[in-house]
Amino acid sequence: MIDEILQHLLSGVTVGSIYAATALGLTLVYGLLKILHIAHAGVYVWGAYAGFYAYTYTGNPIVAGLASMAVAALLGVGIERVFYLRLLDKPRYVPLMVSIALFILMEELAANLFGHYPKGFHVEELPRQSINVGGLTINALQVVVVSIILSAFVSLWAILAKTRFGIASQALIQDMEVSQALGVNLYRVLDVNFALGSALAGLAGLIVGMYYSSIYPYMGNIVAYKALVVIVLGGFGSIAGALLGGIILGVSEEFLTAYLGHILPREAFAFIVLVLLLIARPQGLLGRGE
Amino acid sequence: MVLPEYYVTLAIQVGIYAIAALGLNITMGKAGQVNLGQAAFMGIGAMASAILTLRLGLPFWLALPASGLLAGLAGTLLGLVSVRLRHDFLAITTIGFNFIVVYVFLYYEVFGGSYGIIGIPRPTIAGLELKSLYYAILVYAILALLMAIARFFDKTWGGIAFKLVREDEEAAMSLGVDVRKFKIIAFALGAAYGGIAGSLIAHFKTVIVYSDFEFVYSIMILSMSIIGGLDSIPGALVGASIVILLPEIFRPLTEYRYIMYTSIIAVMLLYMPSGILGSGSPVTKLYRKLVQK
Repeated sequence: MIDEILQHLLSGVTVGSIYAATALGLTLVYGLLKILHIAHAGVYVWGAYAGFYAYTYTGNPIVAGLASMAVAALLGVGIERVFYLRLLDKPRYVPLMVSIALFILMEELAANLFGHYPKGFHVEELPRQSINVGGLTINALQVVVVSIILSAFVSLWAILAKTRFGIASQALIQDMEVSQALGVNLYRVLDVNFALGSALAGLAGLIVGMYYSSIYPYMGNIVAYKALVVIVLGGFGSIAGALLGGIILGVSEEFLTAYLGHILPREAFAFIVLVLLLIARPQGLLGRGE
Repeated sequence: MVLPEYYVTLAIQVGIYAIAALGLNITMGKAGQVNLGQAAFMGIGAMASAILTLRLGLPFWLALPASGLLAGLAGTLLGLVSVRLRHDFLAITTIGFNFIVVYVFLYYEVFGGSYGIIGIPRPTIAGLELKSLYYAILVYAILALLMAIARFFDKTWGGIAFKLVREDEEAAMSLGVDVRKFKIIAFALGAAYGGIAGSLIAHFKTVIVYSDFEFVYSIMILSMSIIGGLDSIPGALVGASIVILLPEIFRPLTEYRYIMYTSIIAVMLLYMPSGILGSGSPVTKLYRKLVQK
């Protein structure tokens, strides 16, 4: 019994850390621009494909990771520059709908360019063996996934908490007008935030592709909306919150599926959790209201 | 006169989706409440109508209003949630609602699971089956009735209250408008329109499956509303015609239809946010100028 619970916990943490990585960009953008950046999931898909093709041509997983991050960062900054910056003075639903439209557009473009069907993605270099610790099976791949994402989170946290750039971001989140008057360059900070958050999403796309050994154009569908659940759980604009929210969601999904999977499919739980949470606490789990 | 079946089919689709888009225009355009799950209300109406006629043997003429009512009831529930939420949170909740509804359709045998419900009867009048042109007439008669209702509501105190709720909630409250009540009415009314559209599509296609009501269809309906103008009543029909007919006129577009819908939304919102017939659009301004002279 206890073994079973630990096993669910382990896979919940793995999946949850992937959710966290995809939600991070969303939380950064929301903190600054108050835009729900759904198109982030499109960036995640394109990151996965960039990594896939880079790996296919070079056979080097490091190059694949760099390619994912570079393509994703470029796309993220492009979306910010071409669309979001022009929509800041519009009603709040306008950028949201543009973002959703961009997300579906990016998925459909990927489907038309790279094919509608899943592509097998087998990375030889990844460890596939598993070890047994007192009845608990730990998959080496799970360890790799969790540690890559954790180290990415720690370095991002360090950038945002310890550098001049990080302080500038925090200032903008607190008060956009005053910090601009004090000489913070809004556009540069936005660019860097979009680039960092998108790079992590691209990397997450690649990691998911490697973890499940396949990628497909609609892989962003579920992630897009689960990332929303994660930031509502973890509170908008908080890095630690994104990590916490991702892991809470991953673990609770795992247990709900294991014990209530006959009532509803796995993917529905996230939305039920979300809707119930929003009814109970409209400002989010850790939010303080408007 | 015999119209080729193809055109009749297209006309029926345009009419049905115009009803769904009209519902969205009421909730979003008139009352300013974001709803990104209109396809779910269509689904609720379609499934309700299919089950009521097939399993319970009710005639279409009872199932049609019943499915509107049931979808309206679901809209009321979402409305009750919506009064607690603002802006983006509301948008996320409606997306979540769409997903949950689709999963329920897929997971429960009553809704036909992944095969859907087949053999939904067509409506009959005095033993005569309504199909093709007659079905088109029925659809457009209902559309005209629903447009008239929307227009009537718009001219009454309810329409003014919607506008107040949309523009400034605090001001609305200070003028004695029950903001809560009107938000719920906005959702219920828009959802009921969606439900009626759902029932009509079920009895037209005679086969419905959960995937007909997925989130992308909510986006498709949204693109119709945005093109026509979110706060315009005839805009719903204009938007539905453009979105459905464009891929038919330009055949190669069929494969890229989602690319088309989403590009239209992005470009329109950037450069022409009030749509073709919305209150701020060049077409409307020109029309007003001509009429005033």
